[in-house]
Amino acid sequence: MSTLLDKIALQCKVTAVQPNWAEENLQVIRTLMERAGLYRRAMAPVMTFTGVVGLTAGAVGRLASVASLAGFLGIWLSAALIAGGGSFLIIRRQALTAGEAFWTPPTRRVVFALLQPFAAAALFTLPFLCLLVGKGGELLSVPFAASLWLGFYGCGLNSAGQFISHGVRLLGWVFVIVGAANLHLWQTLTMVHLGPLPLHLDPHVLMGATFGGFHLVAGIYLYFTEKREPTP
Amino acid sequence: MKAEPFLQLDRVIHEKGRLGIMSALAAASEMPFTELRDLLQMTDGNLTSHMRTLQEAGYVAVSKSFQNNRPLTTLALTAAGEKAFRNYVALLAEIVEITREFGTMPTPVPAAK
Repeated sequence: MSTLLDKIALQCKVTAVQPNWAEENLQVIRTLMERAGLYRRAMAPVMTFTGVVGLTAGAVGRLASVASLAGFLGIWLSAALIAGGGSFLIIRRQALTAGEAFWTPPTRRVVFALLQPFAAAALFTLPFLCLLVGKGGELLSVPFAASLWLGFYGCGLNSAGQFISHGVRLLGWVFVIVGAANLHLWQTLTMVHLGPLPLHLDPHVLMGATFGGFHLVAGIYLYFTEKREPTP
Repeated sequence: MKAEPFLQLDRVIHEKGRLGIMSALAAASEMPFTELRDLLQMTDGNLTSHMRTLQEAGYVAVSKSFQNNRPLTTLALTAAGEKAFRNYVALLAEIVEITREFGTMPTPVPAAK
């Protein structure tokens, strides 16, 4: 009986002090559950590294005047592999430094969120490029591949961003919009344009400025704003 | 007016720190000690103390392993912990409903003498 009265007294005290405590508790639970599912590795080094790789690949492609489809694929698939491998090592190092597991549920969620858009980019690119090349569309296929990849990469970032941050989701949208806008611009201008492509329509410049430039800007921004997790 | 939801609230979970631990573990199937500590901004000692209470209640399972020659303590909700947390959240939702219905908190009346 005394326990029951204790409980009632406790509730009366609580409700008198804070009438909306139950609602606030529910809100705290919701917030914590959302945060617990988020990916918390520092993104600044990953973004910066990816940005530097992208800018380097763009510069190499532009300076070497690589215009063939094979050359474009070679440069940018290599850049993707280096960026992916480097990001993996950076994140793994962060996990080791913090004494935590690498393959955590939030990491799994981020990887699986990226997987489908990346696979879609590969699957959509191959047959379409074969079709264009078969029709003698080498000139057409490279800018198309660049725009397609930017679009799918943006979708991947947006999906993964659901478990990372609002900024990453936003960056995903920027990639999608720039990819689509470039395709539209390229298609419109090349209808009336003769001679060498202007700088801003060069696929290497486009990829370097977006894949490289956007990531680098995001990396620098995160370097100054990202909350640093205490390490043991 | 109903007083039952208040009386059924699990006092083990109701404490702020333990509620945080249960909420985080309900969202992530398992979580390393350090990650949980950083998420909840607790000290090692505070988290350990709450962890023990939850472990004694059978709500949390603690496993210790080694990763790269460093000890790794991982926490996860047990089946009983999941059930208790679900019940707790359901009770809170019920209390919120009652509050909305009556405008203010009902005065709990003991059911029996």
